[in-house]
Amino acid sequence: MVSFNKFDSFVEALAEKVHNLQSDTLRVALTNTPPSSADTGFLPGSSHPPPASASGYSPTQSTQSSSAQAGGTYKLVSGDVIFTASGGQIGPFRYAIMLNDTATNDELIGWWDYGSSITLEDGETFTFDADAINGILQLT
Amino acid sequence: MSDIKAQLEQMKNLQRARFHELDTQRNAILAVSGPIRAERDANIDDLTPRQRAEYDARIKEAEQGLYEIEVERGELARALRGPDGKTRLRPA
Repeated sequence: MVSFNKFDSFVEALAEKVHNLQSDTLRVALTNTPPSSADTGFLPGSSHPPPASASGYSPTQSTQSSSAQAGGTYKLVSGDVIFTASGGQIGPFRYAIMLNDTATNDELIGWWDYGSSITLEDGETFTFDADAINGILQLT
Repeated sequence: MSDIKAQLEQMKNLQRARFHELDTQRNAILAVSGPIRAERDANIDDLTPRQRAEYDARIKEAEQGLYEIEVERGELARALRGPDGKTRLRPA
């Protein structure tokens, strides 16, 4: 899986009870616009626009399986998220963004850069691979 | 040799069918849990800790098995990836 990039505000939001990573609704969104580590909330109308073609696309829930620490290291394990183009294309997109849909301002958690823009044709899928062993993110 | 190729193609079609079956199961679960999540999230700032816990418990119950479905869908999508890295859910 490509590497996780943290939004700077995420650490403060964690410390100030914005996130409950065990039970909040976490979603993965796709965009072709580079996220900035200074971004704080999900803004699909400006900073984080959806792909220009978005047939069958919407930010999609990632279901938590485990939110726990062992030996002082916290790990969030969550399910794979699959986007399927339906009735047309989805794309282009290069970045996957994880946001907290429960939090008041849809606060951002992190993003992943896939290196180049991707476009799905009708019937094709893109899989956001959530690492079942190391989790989506770890906190030490 | 062509028998093996035919069998492999048949296996891919079975994997596609299983993917669609899991999709249906996932959608059925989300049809139940989604409205509960939406209601909780719309009122999140006004919920007492007890109310929040009640919502979370209802969501957890409704979404039993969902993670396993998402993992299996992911495995199938990866197995069906073509040489270009894309997964096609319809027979070629």
